[in-house]
Amino acid sequence: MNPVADNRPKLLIANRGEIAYRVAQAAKQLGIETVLVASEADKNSLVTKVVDQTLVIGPAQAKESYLNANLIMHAAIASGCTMLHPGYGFLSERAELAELCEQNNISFVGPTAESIRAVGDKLSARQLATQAGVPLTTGSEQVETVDEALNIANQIGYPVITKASAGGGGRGMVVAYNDDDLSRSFDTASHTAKEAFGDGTLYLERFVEKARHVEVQLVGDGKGNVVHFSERDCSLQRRYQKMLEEAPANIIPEPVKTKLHQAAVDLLSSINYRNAGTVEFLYDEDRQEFYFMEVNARIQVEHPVSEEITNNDLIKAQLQLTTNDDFNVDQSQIAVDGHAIEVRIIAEDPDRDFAPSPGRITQWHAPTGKGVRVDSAMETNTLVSPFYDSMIAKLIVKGSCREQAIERLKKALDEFIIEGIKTNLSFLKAIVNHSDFQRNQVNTRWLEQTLIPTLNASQSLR
Amino acid sequence: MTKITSQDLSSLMDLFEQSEWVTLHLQTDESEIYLSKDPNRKKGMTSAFNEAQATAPVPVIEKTTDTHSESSPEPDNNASETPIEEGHIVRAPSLGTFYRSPKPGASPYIELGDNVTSDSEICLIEVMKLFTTMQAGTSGKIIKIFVNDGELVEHNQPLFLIKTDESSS
Repeated sequence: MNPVADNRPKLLIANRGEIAYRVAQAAKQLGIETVLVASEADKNSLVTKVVDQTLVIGPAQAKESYLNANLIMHAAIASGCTMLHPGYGFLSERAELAELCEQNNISFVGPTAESIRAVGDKLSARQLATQAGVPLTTGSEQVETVDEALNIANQIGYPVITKASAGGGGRGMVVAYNDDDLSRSFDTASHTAKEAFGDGTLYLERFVEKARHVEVQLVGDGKGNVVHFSERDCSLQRRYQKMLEEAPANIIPEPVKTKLHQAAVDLLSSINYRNAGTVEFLYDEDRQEFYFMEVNARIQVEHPVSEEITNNDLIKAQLQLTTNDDFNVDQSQIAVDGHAIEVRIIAEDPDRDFAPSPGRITQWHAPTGKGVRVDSAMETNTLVSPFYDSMIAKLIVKGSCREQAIERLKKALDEFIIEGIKTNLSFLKAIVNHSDFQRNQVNTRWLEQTLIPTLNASQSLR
Repeated sequence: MTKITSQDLSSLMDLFEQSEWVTLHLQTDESEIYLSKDPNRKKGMTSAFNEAQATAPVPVIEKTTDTHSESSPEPDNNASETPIEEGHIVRAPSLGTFYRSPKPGASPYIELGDNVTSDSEICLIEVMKLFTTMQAGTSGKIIKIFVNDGELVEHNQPLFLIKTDESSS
């Protein structure tokens, strides 16, 4: 455990798949040495070929490898790393990992443990938003009982949505249109939240019918300076999982955008936020109003669309902020140009209710061309492991306007060849070819309420 | 059942571990799997273990092939892929730091050539100040120590080679 005394930065990558690959690439461009921690299942992955060193830390099961903070810290210290990038998912938003880094003098490429805690709990995040003057949906504090919930729902006005205080991902979320709905679903929602997060506390919010999911990409220097990289529209979701994201959000009028960006900047600068983060909002198209949802204290899957329209490399910025105290991002240097769309290519079968489809990729051909980017760690013969998230690639296109981006996306999707496993490519094509999407007339429930039922109906006719 | 995935194997081994069975022998068109809880069991084993076995969460006896006639007295990490003598390989349960003695300055748990029994303590693996004592898992003679004291080891890395009592007869 005696790392060689050396001032050069050395980065531990505590993740896998495309984000690990992406981080390794960015580090390489900055001349930073890299160490990858891998599970037994990933010990020969494509990522291992682009890093300087790989340490196999445990078996395939995530809880004994990528979710074991002690193993990861031990690997970081023993290999002489000076910094650690957590990627997204796994331990990225666990304050414990950031704290372990702080205790062991390793720079965490992300916010402080204190910030992660402050924004990680949704009720505490709502308090922060209130203090920073960021608009919230009409909502409640913690709700314990059905009677309490009914009372509050009648004050807010139906429809309402229940949300888990301790986490996201849709668990604990139920929409109720009247007293009957709410009395029926409240206990189940609380139970689901308890199962998922170990805490059954719920709160209520007014439910917006024509809702868009918009979010602002931010970067802070930890001293109160926060800049934004414009916003993204991530309304196309299935079971609260994003499938397609684009930037900018054309649906929002410019004056409202300015307010949206400022609200996000105000919120993160109020806690001297450090490194990359996202503030998520719900946008009410009818009222042209936005409401705070949550803060994601990490780099997100969909960060590339913001990179494309602002011509920035956010992962590089994350690393530079960590290695160089004086690194500064200047808002006046960030300008929006063009339109970018990302789709998530997932190893799942849309014809079987999107069941995961792990297996060996027998053929892999990723599209290329002007304005086309693919972030992935897959190639022909890669085994898509059943142990981890089934996203296998992100296809990102950029055009001078939304229409051009859509044309490029259509072409790129047609060019993409993945054989040996089932993927959602056909489903993504159905989205892109739908007139509602082309006219940008969608909302957060469009996939579930419009597209999927239509596709299922046409399938049963066959 | 034609193709066995690493997940199948992992589940199979979990079930086997929980079962009362001592051995399990499964043969398909493409592969053959032999699981045993008996550290001295040797008969009927084949060397046809594939890479998937490396994810084994339970101790598994490996029969190694005899490619050289004498064992090297020096710890040698590279020996992991081409074991030089038949026996039982004790592997690291996770990444960690390998220690041969219970505390700094103390004499090692075992030396090369020592005889051990299944429950003999043979080394420590440390992960962030948490020390796990490892046992031999079989009785026999320590004929190889792959790692130096204080070295970082990875998950599944060979630590010791034990010539089991049965194999020495």
